[in-house]
Amino acid sequence: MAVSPIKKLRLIALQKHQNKILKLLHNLGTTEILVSPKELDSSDLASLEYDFAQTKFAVKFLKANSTIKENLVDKLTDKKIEITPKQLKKVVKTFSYKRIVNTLSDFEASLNQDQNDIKKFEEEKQVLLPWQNLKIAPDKLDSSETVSSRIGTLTEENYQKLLDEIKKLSEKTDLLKINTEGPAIYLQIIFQKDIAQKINEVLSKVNWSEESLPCENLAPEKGIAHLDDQITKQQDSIKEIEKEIKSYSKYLRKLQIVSDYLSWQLEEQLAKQKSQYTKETFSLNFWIEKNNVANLEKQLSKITKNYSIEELPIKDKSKSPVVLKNNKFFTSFEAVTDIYGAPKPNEPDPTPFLTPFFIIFFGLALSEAGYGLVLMLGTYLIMKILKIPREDSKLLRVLFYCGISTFIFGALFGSWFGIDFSGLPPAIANVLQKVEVIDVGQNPIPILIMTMILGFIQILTGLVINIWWLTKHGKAKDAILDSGTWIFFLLAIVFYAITKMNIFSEAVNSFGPYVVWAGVIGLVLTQGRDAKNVFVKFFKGVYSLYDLIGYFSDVLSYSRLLALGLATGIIAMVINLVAILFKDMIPYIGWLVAILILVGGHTFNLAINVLGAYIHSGRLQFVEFFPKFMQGGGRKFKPFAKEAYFVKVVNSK
Amino acid sequence: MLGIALAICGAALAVGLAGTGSALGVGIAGQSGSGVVSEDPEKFGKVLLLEALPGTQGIYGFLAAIMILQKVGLLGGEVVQIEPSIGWQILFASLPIAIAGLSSGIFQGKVSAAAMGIVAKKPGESGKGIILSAMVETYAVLGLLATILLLNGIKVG
Repeated sequence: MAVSPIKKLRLIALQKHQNKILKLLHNLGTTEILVSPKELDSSDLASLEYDFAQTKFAVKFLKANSTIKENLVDKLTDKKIEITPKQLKKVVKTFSYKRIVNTLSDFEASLNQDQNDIKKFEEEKQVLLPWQNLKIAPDKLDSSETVSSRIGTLTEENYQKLLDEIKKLSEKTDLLKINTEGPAIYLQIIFQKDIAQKINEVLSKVNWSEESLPCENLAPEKGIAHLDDQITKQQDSIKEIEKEIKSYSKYLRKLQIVSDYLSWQLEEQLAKQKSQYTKETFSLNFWIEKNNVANLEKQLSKITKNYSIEELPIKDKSKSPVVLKNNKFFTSFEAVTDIYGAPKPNEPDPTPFLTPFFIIFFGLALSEAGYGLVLMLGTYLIMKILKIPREDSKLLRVLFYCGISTFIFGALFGSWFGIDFSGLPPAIANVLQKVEVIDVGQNPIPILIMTMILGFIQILTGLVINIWWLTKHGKAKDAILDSGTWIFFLLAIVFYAITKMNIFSEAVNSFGPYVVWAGVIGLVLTQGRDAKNVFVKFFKGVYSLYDLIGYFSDVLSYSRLLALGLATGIIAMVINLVAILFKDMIPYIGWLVAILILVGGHTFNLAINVLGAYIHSGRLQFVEFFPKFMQGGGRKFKPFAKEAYFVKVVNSK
Repeated sequence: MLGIALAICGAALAVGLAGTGSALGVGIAGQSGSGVVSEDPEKFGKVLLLEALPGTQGIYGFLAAIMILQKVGLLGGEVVQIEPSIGWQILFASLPIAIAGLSSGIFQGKVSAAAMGIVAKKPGESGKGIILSAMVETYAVLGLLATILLLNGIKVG
């Protein structure tokens, strides 16, 4: 139930055993290999990396184009292909994946080619469309010996200018209007070759923009038909290729297996590079949990007797990686801790401490018995039906436990799907009424006070954890002087507040102010003890009283639980109200609309408020609770293990 | 009649202003979110979660409005004829959630939009983005709490 102790080890063994040993470490997945000081040289890995990237591409490409439809449940739970080591070996040996991968990448290339061609043809067609009425192929425009012609576009204004200019010339010139589209006029000008020079001048005067058409040897109309033909041809070709790709679907499974295999190979090669070598031996530095060392040695001795393991000194304890170890129940709540990040190696694991508070806070923030029931049953059924393994179901488990507390708080507050008890059969209403302790909507103040008391308890707990942890690590003096004084001062203030309510006898009440003053003096005397100068000591001590505002706002922050809880109940009530409104308003099918509103509305309310309850209960841990005893910022242990994208290696099927 | 009109004005401010805050916030977050989804459609779930966060202010405002309407009997039943002074009280009681909802909605949207970067680059850490965004919501929650407590304290009829 804490941060698991971790060791830094160096393994030295013979090079001839290196592959086997690396494979063993990879399979065990309990070590984190340290990078040796020399730089990694990735050039030897280039071909392996290329193969892996290609296979990964092939899997993605095939998945996108294949007929195989993934089962929705499998997709949600990210189901892996289960395979034994023997089968894995067989697939890798017998399956010529390179050929398949190459064919698939060829398919992709020709698909791209075809698509680009189609795009090109479409563009050419767009150019030709306005010239449909031109009766001559573009390359024939200048083919006669005496007469030449040119095509181009002009604006209306320039067209008129051109007409004028032509009139001034001889009559040997003809201007044909081919088409008008928008502001542009499409023109063909026909002239005697001997005045070509003059025509040139005229045209440049009127801003003639010369057109050059695709499909030069065909008249535009025929050119368009030709392009259409080409496009159909390419589309057929694409269909053909897609059909072919589908016939490769059967290889998807094997490709996925090979893809994972190659990624593991890559990792092992990288680990090899992280080793240091002498002529005959290699050495490898790694982190490992203390508990796993024995097993590692046992497994190693199965491979060879010629190895040595030595423990390396850890220079900076706060920099080693962190593994959290908790029992089955608390492990689920690592999901909450993980959002914040791991504690430092020399700090306590907050998970077991936050668990009870998180469950209670979540229950208060949702406080709706109906929703609690739905949450409990829903998460339970999802875990059972989908058979989600324990390590992947942390969040679901957290929600399950929180569902229980939501149910309890909801029942105590008399909130059942926002239903008004007066509308229920008396038998049920009586039972629910009896369970109900307080109607928060009518009388919110007691719950407001309760949330703040809970907050106060959590803050004190945080300070106590700090004392416990520091004392355990030989810093009892700091623990008592810092957190101890604060606990005393906070309790003193509460005591003083209670004496004002005249619960105790006069004699006890008279102590109130003195206790508070004792706390103030205690803080002023202790909090400046690091400073050397007496005055600085004093001012630092006085200044530390300012932290009281921090504690005060921390406690107030817990009032959010009341607001969130009220919100759930009131929205649920509103949904019921709207549903009944619609039922009475619409004849005949009113009840149907009402059911739709009820189901949809409550689902929405549940989703949005579970989210709210989760993040706000989490925030109370991270912002109000954690800083009392930890800073966080530890690095999580990243084991050298076989990470599975598609494949899970099992020992027997 | 003035009393009822003032109470309705309070309800309208709560829904309108807090809703505006949410609309702007969700809008800002959605714009950045679309960019992430266009690169990697599989991150839609996480993006949607972040985008939805600034949406709660609108719900809080709506909640306050419902409480007001219920108080003056505009939600079915008989309309309570209240004094103008009570109407003013209800109007002012709606302001905490209206104002806090407006401003916190916008800024929570901005934090959510920035947190989309976490979803894009380090999807495993998106929980931290959610918490950062939820920090802003605190003030809307406190605004709602103040409005609820104030409304609870006002005696009608």
